[in-house]
Amino acid sequence: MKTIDIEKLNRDNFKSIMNSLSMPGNIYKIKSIYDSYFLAMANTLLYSEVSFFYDGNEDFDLIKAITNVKEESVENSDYIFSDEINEYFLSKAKIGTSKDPEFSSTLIFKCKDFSGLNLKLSGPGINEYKEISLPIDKAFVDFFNEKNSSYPMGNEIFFLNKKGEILALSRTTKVEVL
Amino acid sequence: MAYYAIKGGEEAIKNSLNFYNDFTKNSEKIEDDDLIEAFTFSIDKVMSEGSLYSKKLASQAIKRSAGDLLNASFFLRAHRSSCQRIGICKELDVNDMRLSRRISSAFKDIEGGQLLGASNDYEVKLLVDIKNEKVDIKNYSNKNNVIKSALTPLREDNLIKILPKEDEPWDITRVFPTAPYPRSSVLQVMSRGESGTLLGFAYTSMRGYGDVHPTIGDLRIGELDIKFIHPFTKKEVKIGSIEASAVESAGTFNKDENGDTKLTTGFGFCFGKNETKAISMSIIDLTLYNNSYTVGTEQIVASDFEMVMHHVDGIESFGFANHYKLPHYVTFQTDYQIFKSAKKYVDEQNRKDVDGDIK
Amino acid sequence: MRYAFLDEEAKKEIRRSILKAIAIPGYIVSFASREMPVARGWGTGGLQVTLSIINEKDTLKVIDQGCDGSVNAVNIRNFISSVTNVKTTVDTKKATLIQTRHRIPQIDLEEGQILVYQVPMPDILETVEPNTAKAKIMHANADYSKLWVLLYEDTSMYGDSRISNRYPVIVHNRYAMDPSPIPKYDTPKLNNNKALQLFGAGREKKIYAIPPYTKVEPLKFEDREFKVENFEDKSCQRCNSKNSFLDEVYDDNGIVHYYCNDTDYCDSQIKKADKK
Repeated sequence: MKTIDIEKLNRDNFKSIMNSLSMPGNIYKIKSIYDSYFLAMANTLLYSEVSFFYDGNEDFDLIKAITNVKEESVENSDYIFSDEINEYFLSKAKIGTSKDPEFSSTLIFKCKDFSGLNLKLSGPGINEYKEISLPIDKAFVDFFNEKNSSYPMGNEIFFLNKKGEILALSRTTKVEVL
Repeated sequence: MAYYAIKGGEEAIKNSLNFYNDFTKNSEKIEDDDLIEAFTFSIDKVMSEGSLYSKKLASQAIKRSAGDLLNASFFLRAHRSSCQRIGICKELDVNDMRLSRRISSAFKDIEGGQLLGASNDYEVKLLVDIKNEKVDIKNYSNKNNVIKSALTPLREDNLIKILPKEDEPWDITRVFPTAPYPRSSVLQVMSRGESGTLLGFAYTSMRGYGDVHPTIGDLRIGELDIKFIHPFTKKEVKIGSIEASAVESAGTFNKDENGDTKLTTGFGFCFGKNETKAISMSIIDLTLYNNSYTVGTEQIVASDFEMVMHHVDGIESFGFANHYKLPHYVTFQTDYQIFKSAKKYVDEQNRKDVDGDIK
Repeated sequence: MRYAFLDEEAKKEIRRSILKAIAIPGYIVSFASREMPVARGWGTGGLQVTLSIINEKDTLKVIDQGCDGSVNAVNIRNFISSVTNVKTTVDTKKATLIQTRHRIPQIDLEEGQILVYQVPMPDILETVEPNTAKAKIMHANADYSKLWVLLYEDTSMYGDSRISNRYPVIVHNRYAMDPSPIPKYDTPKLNNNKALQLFGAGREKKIYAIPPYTKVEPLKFEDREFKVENFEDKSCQRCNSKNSFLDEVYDDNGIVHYYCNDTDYCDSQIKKADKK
């Protein structure tokens, strides 16, 4: 039986996650755990003092056992996982307060790949502008910009595709449809 | 030959540690059991400030520090940091203590009597050899010495102000709170606080920078059992017992959250025999939660949560005080340049007369 | 010993704080801050950040006052090395992870590099409002009036701010931030830097960050110049550079000499000269 060094997996994956959030639009690679990139991200981010929400198809039981994470409703959880890009979850995600903007939710959306609407990103982490594409519609873009319009409150989103690549949008990222 | 910037830091450190070892190697001759027996109060101070109950580890820390007790506490704290947390034990009630000492200054006599126990309160501090009068002490056991706090009758009569209790105790080692500070976090900070700092803060209150007029309602030292739910059998087990000090001070009176007039109290608790620290902690607790009426609230250090929460931890203050020994030549260079510019500006201004012309 | 000393829970909590800090540039995020075998005030914050992000692919550089050989830098580098076996270097260009105290490297950093600052006091408002509860509300309201008033008073009395290092900056047009005790000379380097900048304050239990390519401006009046440290006509006696922050050093005869503060920069200038 192949032994998994979970801590090594976590530190390698955290590097990718941190790099993707500090440079929104750039693509980084995640290593899988139990054949799932999604569970690997969960395993890296979750621990006993945070909460998560998920009602999809992957099996989070092992993650719950390893990390001791708490389960919560979508409005209250620190991390929202979803098998697909979901505007409803984004609308429900907590955004923190002006005093404690970090008590806000991070969303992790699975998608097939990163093709779709052509977008122009700007903001911290981006050298002037960056052009990318994502499988979202204009309504989602408008909603994202609006949700994050009362900075410092807001949400970060990580997109994870089938190849285990991630791309992040920070709450400081301005998204324009090209 | 050009003078090189300071290199050779590695060598310097090695040599410095070797020199320091000349101090600490002498303590290696002392067995842990002997140190624990001979210097019980040092062991207790270190366990309390290190926030880790282990006499053996405290002894090793004291030896490694050649007697610097605050440094020894630092060793214990760092060790504590590396220990994996298995779980949280059952809540302790100091009323369950198997007492080896229990007094109350508030009452002439109390249930069980004034149990002086082992104390140096009445010791005459003369360095010359004074032999204590021999006494014939019958065998003493604390097994049945479980007596409730001397303030219990007042509590039962609902005369004592009860502060709101949180659902779950805070854990300052996991999240340090911001204001308003939960009471459990305030007590945690003080319980592991540096003894001298707590004494200093409490002393300001005693001397009048506080309006609490404390009387010790109950001071106790004894053993408490640590109970824990076994992770596999799910049954409650006793994993050991600790020696601890607890003090309840009574203050003046105050209105509680319902508007009723009640007697105020403060609570002090620490690992080991630490009477001075427990007394200080209970007085600071009293002062923090009861506004001053006679002296107002200005400049009252012991009633200021910001003062207490951020300034009583010995490991933090010790580290920061000593960090000033680190190189600061860049910041000093910047200070010096600003000073020169400022001086130049002021001198130029002084040379100009009222119309702005150079005199 | 466990890789990078800290247990996984501690690392995850620090990592979460780092992510939130990156998402909210310049905002100070609270974290548990475990006690380390190094004393509080001696770099435990920077250390916890480094230990939480370091992995086998990194190359580590540690400097204090710009120097790799400084005793504190040596001690910290040795500790990190002993718990990770990571490759170490003094060459700024080769490092992926640089932990620093009080200086930004002279050589410009590149994308993909991470600079971790050791911070004694994380909240710039502490200089005008030591009460942490009040300061937190000021940050929530972007109320930095006390800093502006201080700047005004200093300017009228002394011609300029009396702040020498730790000069307040505004990040992404929102948060006033403490850049740690770096000289004003280094302050402009915070702006639009290609590297990720992380700040760790262990004793005060705070982490904050500046993502790459982020706007960071010193707090100053529009009609005033931001004056940095001036070495006038002096140059480094070792490499002849006139463009670096210099250290004033006294030799055994009491004579003063000037040398580049950033030792790696000085070495690289000499290498360049040798090549010619």
